Amino acid sequence: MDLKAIAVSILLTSVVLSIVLYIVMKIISRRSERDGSQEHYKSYEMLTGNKKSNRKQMIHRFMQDSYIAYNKVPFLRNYIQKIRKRLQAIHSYDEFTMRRETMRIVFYTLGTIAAVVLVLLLMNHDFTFIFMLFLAAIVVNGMLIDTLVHKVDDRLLIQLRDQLFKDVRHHYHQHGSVEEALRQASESSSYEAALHAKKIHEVLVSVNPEESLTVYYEQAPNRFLKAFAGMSFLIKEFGDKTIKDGSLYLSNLNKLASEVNLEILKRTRLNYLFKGLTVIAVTPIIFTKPIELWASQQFPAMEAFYSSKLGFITKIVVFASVLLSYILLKKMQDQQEGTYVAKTKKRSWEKLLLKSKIVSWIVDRLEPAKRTAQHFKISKLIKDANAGYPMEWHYLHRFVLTIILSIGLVFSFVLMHHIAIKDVLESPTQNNSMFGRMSEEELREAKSITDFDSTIIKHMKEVKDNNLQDRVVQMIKQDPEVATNDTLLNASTERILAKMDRINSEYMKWWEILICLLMGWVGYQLPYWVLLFQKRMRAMDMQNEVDQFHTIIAMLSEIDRVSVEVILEWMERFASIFKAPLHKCLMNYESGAELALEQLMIDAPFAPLVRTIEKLQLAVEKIPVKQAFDDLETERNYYFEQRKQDYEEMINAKAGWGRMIGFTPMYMIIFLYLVFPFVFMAFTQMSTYYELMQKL
Amino acid sequence: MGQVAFWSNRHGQSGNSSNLIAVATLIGMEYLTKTLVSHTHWSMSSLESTFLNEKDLDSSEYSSLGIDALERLARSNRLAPKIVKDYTDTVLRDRLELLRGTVKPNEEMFSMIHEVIGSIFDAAKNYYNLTLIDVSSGMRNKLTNSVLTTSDVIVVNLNQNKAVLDEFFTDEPEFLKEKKVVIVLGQYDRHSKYSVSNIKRMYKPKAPIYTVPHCTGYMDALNDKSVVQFFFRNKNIGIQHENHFFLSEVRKLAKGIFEAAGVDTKIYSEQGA
Repeated sequence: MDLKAIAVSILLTSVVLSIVLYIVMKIISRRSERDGSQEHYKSYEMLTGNKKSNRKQMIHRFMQDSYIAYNKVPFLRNYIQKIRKRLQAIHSYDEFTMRRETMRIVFYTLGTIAAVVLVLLLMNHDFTFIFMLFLAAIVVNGMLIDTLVHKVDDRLLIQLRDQLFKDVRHHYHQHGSVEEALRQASESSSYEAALHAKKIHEVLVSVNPEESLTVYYEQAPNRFLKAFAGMSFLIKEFGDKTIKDGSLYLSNLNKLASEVNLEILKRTRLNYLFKGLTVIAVTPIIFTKPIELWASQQFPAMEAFYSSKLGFITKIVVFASVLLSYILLKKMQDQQEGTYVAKTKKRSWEKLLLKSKIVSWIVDRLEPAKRTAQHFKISKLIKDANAGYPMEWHYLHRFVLTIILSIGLVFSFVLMHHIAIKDVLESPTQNNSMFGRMSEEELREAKSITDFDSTIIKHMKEVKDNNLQDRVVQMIKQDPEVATNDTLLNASTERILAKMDRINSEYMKWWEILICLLMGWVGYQLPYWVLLFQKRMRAMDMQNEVDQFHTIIAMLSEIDRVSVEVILEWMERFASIFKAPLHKCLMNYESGAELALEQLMIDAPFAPLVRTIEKLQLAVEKIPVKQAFDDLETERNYYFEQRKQDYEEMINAKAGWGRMIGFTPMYMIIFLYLVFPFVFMAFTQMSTYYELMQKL
Repeated sequence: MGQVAFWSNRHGQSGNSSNLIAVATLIGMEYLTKTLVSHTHWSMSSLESTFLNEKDLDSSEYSSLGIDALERLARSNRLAPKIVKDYTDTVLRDRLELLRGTVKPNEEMFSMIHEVIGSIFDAAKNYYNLTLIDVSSGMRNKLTNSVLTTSDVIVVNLNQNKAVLDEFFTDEPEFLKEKKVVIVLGQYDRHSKYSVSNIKRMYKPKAPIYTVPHCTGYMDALNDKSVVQFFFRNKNIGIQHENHFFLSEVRKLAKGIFEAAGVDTKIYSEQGA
């Protein structure tokens, strides 16, 4: 019996046995079905949980456990909490789902980053490359989190449009009551939207609905849900009315749905345009090293370029362009409009810095004095941009950026000079007439020459200029080999003197200082420019908010017995940007409606809003509310069309800019890293050739 | 429906926890109620060690489950009835759930819970049809007293030890006066002189008396963490089977508890009305 025979026999017996066992199992199961004990097993399985869902449960458990485990690690904790906060802004999950979703995103991002970093580290490992990796990791991390969170956000919007609104409409037709419609819709909708519907339903049936509505407004992830909650509440409170195009509630729901559609379209188009751009912008980082290796293998002269001062500059420029283009692309793709809430961090670095007397003194010098035009201008700008921090912080940002940029540049210049000096002292001395790679012997020889030169240069450091040459010659003559050979002596002297010249010319130039100062100025202006940019972004949000006001007013004006004060109250409850002025207006309303509204116009000088307030002024005494707002419908249509147009323009502009910015690093790396060095090297070598030709 | 406390006047005599485990499993198996099982002992109770397997027990080092988590919620006023379910372990799906006890390192820390224990079990009462709570024996414990005062039914666990019976029946505790009381004899031996009928004749109690007989199979199941399997195996056994008496007595006890809580058992029993 050899092994094979044993194996075959085992196989045969096992097959036969398994058939027998299967038959026995079948017989037993049939018998148990007949005498009813099968039912028994089924009920047991049903109650103790079946095996099928075990894998799912295992994954779920693993996620929960890892959430807790990760939260014990200091650095990871902040990371997880950051992601969780972003998710929390969108969804109203319960605690365990929240943890699971958070962990899912964390695993995705960290896993991808770890994979990328490992692959790249295997490719090569030197200091600059590790720095690049670090950069790439940060970039990829931000990108992944953004895409994942945005995906969740978009999913919610699509669910709103496709299911929730349609369900609510259907059930509203059936029952004729908003609460009931919402309850039913929350039971049939898909998960995330259903949760929000449930929340709104809870708001409507709660003991103190107005208060809980305010609470919901603060949690609502987007303006559509906010508007939806407000509408539902109004209809529940004051009852529905039949207007010329059917029910008031449903027609408004229609309008809301069309707005959601517009938003979804905008997002999908932007996503489509920007899909590959970030990746295209970042990939050049990976190719710096391979290009370097390839070029220096093919053309040894290129190596000199890459290790020289100029090479270092190009590297820095390429990195900077990649980083900058990535940040710009991210900013352009950012779709967070109208969801801005002023954040208050508990522990901000600004506070810590301002605690020190020196820093606060400097910042105090920088700030314009109170009651000056400049002070007023800046404070208004901070308000308009809704930055949410005090003036001294703004100036602290400016100061810190200035310091960082200028000092950073000074540091890099110093480093460059240092590298150049090191290059002269240590790199093998080459004959200018030589092309191609040096052989081993030549290399050794060149190295020895370099060492010889370097020792002499080090000795000569403290020598005055007028007798430098003689001293060098004397030093060289100490070497017996060179002393006897006149031509070699002359050549060596010239060479060493040239080297010394080069070393002596490596100091901080006046124009380098100038560049540092210029960058410092740019750093000083940067926060101001950011604020200006933010202010422009806010205009869009303001328009959105006024549109929502119109939605609410359109509903309120249909209701009988409505007063201007009630409308203002509703506006204030709904507002986020105009909350403060509206609140002030309501406070002053008792002491004179006209005056209060006048003040509101001064406080919130935004044209569309001002027009609305003017109508409210008319409605206070002269005409009924409904009459004052009878052109609201055309107005709303107009704004809707206008927004469409704005989106179109914005998308086109962004697409053009995005393409340009996205491809910049690629062009940069090709031109600065390949073409430019080629040309540069070619020219230098050509010139040496010419010199040699003339000497012949 | 109700909160039922399992209490005993002497510690470790009458099988307080094992009686509770038997009744809870049977109710989970044969009644369509949502039941919660919990205890207020500080040290590890036999409830966890029988219902949960080793792996689940190990994961309880952090107090993300159980009564500690609910205490935190209660102290921060975030406790709502439907939240309670998130902090329990499922024993039988949609029927029987276990709320773990504390994992706090010392007893003083845990004893502070008596300030909020009322609101915790109140929330549980609003979600579950039936809450069975195993409390420490005796009357010198603040926590036990606060649970007992909020309970609707108190199950008093005694046994066939004459000293224990005398102690209980001669000066019946004050708090039992205005409560529904059910008396259970644990580790019951039907061949003893002190059978149920004799005890009834001797002491003439106002409350009904039920028993949980001593049963070898059940004892082993407790040790092997296979109580649920034991009950399912013995669900439909005939009258000759050795475990039949145990099962039928536990069934009677379950019915008695429901009746004391004022519930029509026909509505909830699995066989239907």
